[in-house]
Formats: sequence, C-alpha cells, structure tokens
Amino acid sequence: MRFTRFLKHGGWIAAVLIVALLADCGLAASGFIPESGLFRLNDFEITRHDHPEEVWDRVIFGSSELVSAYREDLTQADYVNLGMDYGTVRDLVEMLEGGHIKVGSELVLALNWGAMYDEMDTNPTYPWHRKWYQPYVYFQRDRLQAFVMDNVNALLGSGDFRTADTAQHKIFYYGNMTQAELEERVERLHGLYFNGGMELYADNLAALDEVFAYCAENGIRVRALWLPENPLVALEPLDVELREQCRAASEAAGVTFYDMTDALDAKCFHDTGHLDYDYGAVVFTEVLDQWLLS
Amino acid sequence: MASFLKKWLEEQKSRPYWMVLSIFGYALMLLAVLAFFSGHGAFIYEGF
Amino acid sequence: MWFLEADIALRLLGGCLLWAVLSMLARKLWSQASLNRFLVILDLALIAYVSEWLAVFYAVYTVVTYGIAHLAGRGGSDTVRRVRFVLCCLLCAVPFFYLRLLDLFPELPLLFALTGLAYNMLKAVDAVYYVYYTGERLDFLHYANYMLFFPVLTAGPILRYRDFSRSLARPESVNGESLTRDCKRLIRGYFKKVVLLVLVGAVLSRLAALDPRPWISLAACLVSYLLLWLDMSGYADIAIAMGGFLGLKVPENFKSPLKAASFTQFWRNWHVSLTDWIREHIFVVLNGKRLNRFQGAFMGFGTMMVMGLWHGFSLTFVLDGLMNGSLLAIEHLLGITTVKRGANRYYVWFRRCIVTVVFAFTTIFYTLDQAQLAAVLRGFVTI
Repeated sequence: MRFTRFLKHGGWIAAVLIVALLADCGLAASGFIPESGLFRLNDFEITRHDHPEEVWDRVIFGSSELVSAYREDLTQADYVNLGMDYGTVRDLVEMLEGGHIKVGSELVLALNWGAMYDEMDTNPTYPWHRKWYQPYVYFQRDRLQAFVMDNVNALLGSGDFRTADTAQHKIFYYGNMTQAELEERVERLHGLYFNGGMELYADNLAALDEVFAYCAENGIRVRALWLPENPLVALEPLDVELREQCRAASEAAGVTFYDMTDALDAKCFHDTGHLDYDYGAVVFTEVLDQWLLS
Repeated sequence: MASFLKKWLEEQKSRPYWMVLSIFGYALMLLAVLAFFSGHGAFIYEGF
Repeated sequence: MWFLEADIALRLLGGCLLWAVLSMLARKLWSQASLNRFLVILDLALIAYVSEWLAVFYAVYTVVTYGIAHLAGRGGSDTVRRVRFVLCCLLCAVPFFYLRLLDLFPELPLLFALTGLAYNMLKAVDAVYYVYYTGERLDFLHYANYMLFFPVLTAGPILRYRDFSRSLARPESVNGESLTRDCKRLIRGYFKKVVLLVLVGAVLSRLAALDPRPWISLAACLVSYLLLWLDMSGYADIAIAMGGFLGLKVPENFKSPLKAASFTQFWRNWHVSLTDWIREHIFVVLNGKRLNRFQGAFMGFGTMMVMGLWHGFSLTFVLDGLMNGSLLAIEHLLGITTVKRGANRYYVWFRRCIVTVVFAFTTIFYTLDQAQLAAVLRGFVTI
C-alpha cells in the first residue's frame, strides 16, 4: 500500500528513470556495441580491437590517408597505425588527455591537410565526442538505428540479418585514379578544404602544440611528418603554407619534422593523397620504416 | 470479446506485477526513443 | 518539428519542468493562476530560442489580433457589427492568406518560416468569435498565453479561447500523480512518433515495393492509416503531456476513429480540434437553425473543402477536400450520418470497415512518394 502511494507521488517516474539509467550504463559498460561484431566499428574501435593491450608503446597517428598507407603487417618498426577516418590533431589531443589511449614511448604525427582542417566532418561515434550528460543509447543512436532497421528489413524480406563480423578493418584504397579524375578531385577538395586562409587550420595548429607539450610532459618521444602527395597534380598553395606552418611549429618545439611530400612516385597513389594499399602502401611503409627506426 | 479484454486488463492493472511491468516497459520505450532520435523528423503536415 | 530537434525538445521539456515546479510552489505559497499570467515569458523565451524573428512576429501578431478582437466587440447596428465581425476575422487571417499565396507564387518574399501560422490564425479567429458572440472582453495576458502557448504552437491541437482562459484561471494541480500520468503520455507520444513511425514506415515501404496486387495495396492503405495516426496522435500526446506538466488542459485530438460507423462520426474522432473548430464556427453563425438534408450536405461539403484548403492550396488538398466533402454530403443526403442505436452488430462492423478502408485509401496520398503511390494504385487493378 505504501509502495503504491510512493509510486503515485512521483516514485514511478523516479523508478523509470533509474531503470533506464542503469540499463544505459549497463550497455555502455558491457562493451556490447564495440565487441559483439554486430555493429560497424569506427576506426578507433578497430584499432583497439586489433591492439587490445592497454598501453601502445609506439603509435603513428593520422587521418584516412595514413590508414591506407602504413602497413602494420609489413612494418619492421612495429608502430600501431592509429590512422582514422576524419581524424584530426584535435582528436588526438582529446584521446591523449581523455585517457582514451595510452602511448608508451614514441608518437609520430603523420600530417596532411585532412588532419589539420578545423571544420572537418567527424565520425560522431568516436568516444571522445560523447558529452557526459548524453545517454549511451542516444550517443550510439546511428548504429543502433541501423542495426534495428537492417534486421527489421530482413524480417520483411529485404536484405540479410546482421551477423557478427569480428574481423572488421578500416577502409583501404586500391588502384590509381586517372588524370581526369585527379583533376576533378583537386577541384572538389579546393572548394571544400582550401577555401580561405590559414584560419581554417588555426585550432589544429594549436592542437599540434598541445600534443608536443603533452609528450614533453610525459616523456614521449614525438616526431612529425608530412605525408606524400601525388606528383601528377599541382600542390595547393594553402596546403604548402600549412605544411610550412607545421614544420615551423615542430621546429619551435624541438620536434623532428620529416617532409615526405615528394617521397613517392605517382604509381603509389590511389588519388591525390591516399595510397594504393597493394603497392603504394608497401613502398611507403618501407621508406617510412627507415626513418621510424632511426 | 472486447469487453472481456477490457475487464481483464483492468484487473491486471490493479496487480502489483503490473506496476513493475509498466516501469520496465516505459523505461524500455524511453531508451528506444533515445536510440531512434535522429533529430531530423518532420511532421507529415509540416509547413503550415 | 520542434519536438524532434534534440536541443529544442530538451529546452521545451526543461521549460515544462521548471513551470511544473513553480506551479507546485505557487499553489502552496501564492496562486497558480497568478503564476500562469507570467507563462507568456516562458512561451516567448522558448519561441525566441528557435527563432527570434518568429517570436517577434508572434508577439506582434498577438497584440494586433488582440486589438482586432477588441474591435469586433464594439457596438453599432446589427449590420455594422456583422460586417465588422467578418472583416475582423479576415484581417486576422491576412498573414495566413499570404502564406497560402506563397504556395501558388513561390517567388514572393518570405524572410523566415512562419511556423504554425495556420493553427494560430484559427486561434485568433476563435477569439474574435468569442468577443463578438459573448460580448466579453479578452484578458490580455490570458490571450497572449493562449496565442503563444508553446506546446501547441507549431501544429496544434487547436485551443479555444474560452476553454483555455478557464484553464489558465483554474489550473489543475501539478502533483506526483499528474506528473506520472503526463510522463507516461509523453513517453508514449515520443515512442509513437520516433520509434513506431520508423518501424511502420519500413513495413509500408516494403509493401509498396512488392508486386502490385489488390490485397497488398489494401494492406498498404491500412498501414498508411496507422502511420498517419502514429505521427499525428504522437504529436498530440506530446503536446497534451506538456500542457499537463503546466497544469493546463490541451484538448484531445484523436479519440476512437476506428469505432466511427460513418464519416460524419469519423471526423468527430480524427483531428478533432480542427474539424470541431470548423464545424462549430460555421454552425454558430447559423444560430442553431436545424438544417434539412440538402443544407446538411452542403455544410458537410463546405466543411471539408475549407479543411482541405486550410491545409494548403495544392491539388492534393483540394481533391482531398472534394473527396471527403462528397462523402459527407452523400451521408447527409441518404440520411446515414449516424447508425441508429440497437442496429445490427454486423451492419455496424460493416459500416466501420467501409469508413476505415476508404479513409485509409485517402491517406496514401500523404504517406507515399510518387513512385510508391503509383505502385499501390496500380495494385488495385492488377489481378
């Protein structure tokens, strides 16, 4: 009787909220979404899955260009490829300071315009994007909706049911674009990412300094490099300026800067910056290893 | 048939297990709403 | 759709919560009715969060229509009063007509979205009617709250001045029980609008993609009916729940449409606040005169045409109005607007099925895109 009265006086609402909160925290803590293989993993989760150890001794970070460039399976230098789709230096800062990754002794930043553009799209499921007040199911809603809808559609006879795929990998690029396709891409990129001045990259340049400071504080050897660019297309002037700013920032912090802009020939490239996984990435890894091991 | 169901439902609602069921049911609905919240929905008669 | 934008919805609910707490305190320490006079501040703040220009527009519209309603209550000869009354109603509807004109001439300027204007215009006209027919004055703060009430601003249910004013003056107590009831309704409303709508939408898309057959098209129509109900009643649930948090009554918009055995009855159960508004505002002018079959048919037809045009000046809405109007007219002419008490059970079920299936058929013009609509229509004539 007293329980019924308690429920009437708002206890019911409290009970619903508590049950919902517990279920939400439970789902988050269980790691069901990243570990079951039923959901499409983001590049951070894939890296974690491939490297379950808590501390990654040597890490190389970059955007999607690094993903298809550095071959973990072929390298002699044993760096963890923390290349991620839409990854920016600001993301790296949030990973380091938020404790999402623990770097052991060495960190290399593989930079390009993609990793430096402030208004870059991002994968909203990267864990450091979650605000503390956001319910976990809300934060993961894109993936949860996709999961439910795929299975509902399968039930309705269109498409297949989701099955666990624990061997997910990041997106690699294959083949080479034609000259015409390259020109088209250059034009598109110009409109999207080079439409302005250095203010487009200001926050990530600041983030660069923050990474250097963090590494200095934590005794991590940090180095930077500028990823190769396809010699078949002219360089964007803003891109060159950005590279030089990164070089200056590195040198000011006493960080080694390795300029690989012209390191590879055209055959290695899939497009303006992404490498062909079967050939270009192999060459890149070989060349980079020599520097990494130095 | 309908009136029988109605009576049965009223009877169940007075039982304690119903309250527990309703709490879990609504909590589940709440989570489902959060999981499906796309922020892009439009009302069919939008634009009036 | 404010309820579905995370940031706006959070602020609306936050506003509700704040007002619920204030109402509970006011009831104990001051007066909930006196507190409600300040609700207009919360209304404007929330509207301004979404769009400052919209807040300015509605503030101005509220003041102007208040003045217009006041005019409608002035004295004079019967003819003068009547003419003035009609002019006042038309004046209130001027921005609405401009919006409809945009449907026909999209090049006309529009600086910002006039969200919910069609609904708010009806509220303003209702206030003019109130002043004209009762001779009473509008309380400005009650009127402002009535016009700017945020839970119903964008898409109804449509409030009535008399009822809302009463509710503001004698609000319901906000306590654990009422909050529990309203929370349940809020969750149900969101569940219908956010979750079920998507799932049922998937079923509808699948049906529209199957090989066209009459039974599949029929199933598509029924699912489409369900979809429209989920969308509209879900929205109404959220609005009513929010009103409940504030201790204020928002009218029901959907009752038991499946039980309607005639279209006349159906329209008293579906989008009730709109159809009731149209019917009552026409009938009050007729002063309670009893109508014969032909007049009833004409009224029914007129009501549906007005409703169609109110939705928009496009072919779909005009045809919809024509169709619904014709059905009502036929019912009046044949004297089958209701089913007599004690009528045969199977006859009642048969009538309900007809109403359900026919209405379900009209809904596909709103829920399906061109290709899907073509497929479903084709299905009816493919064996």
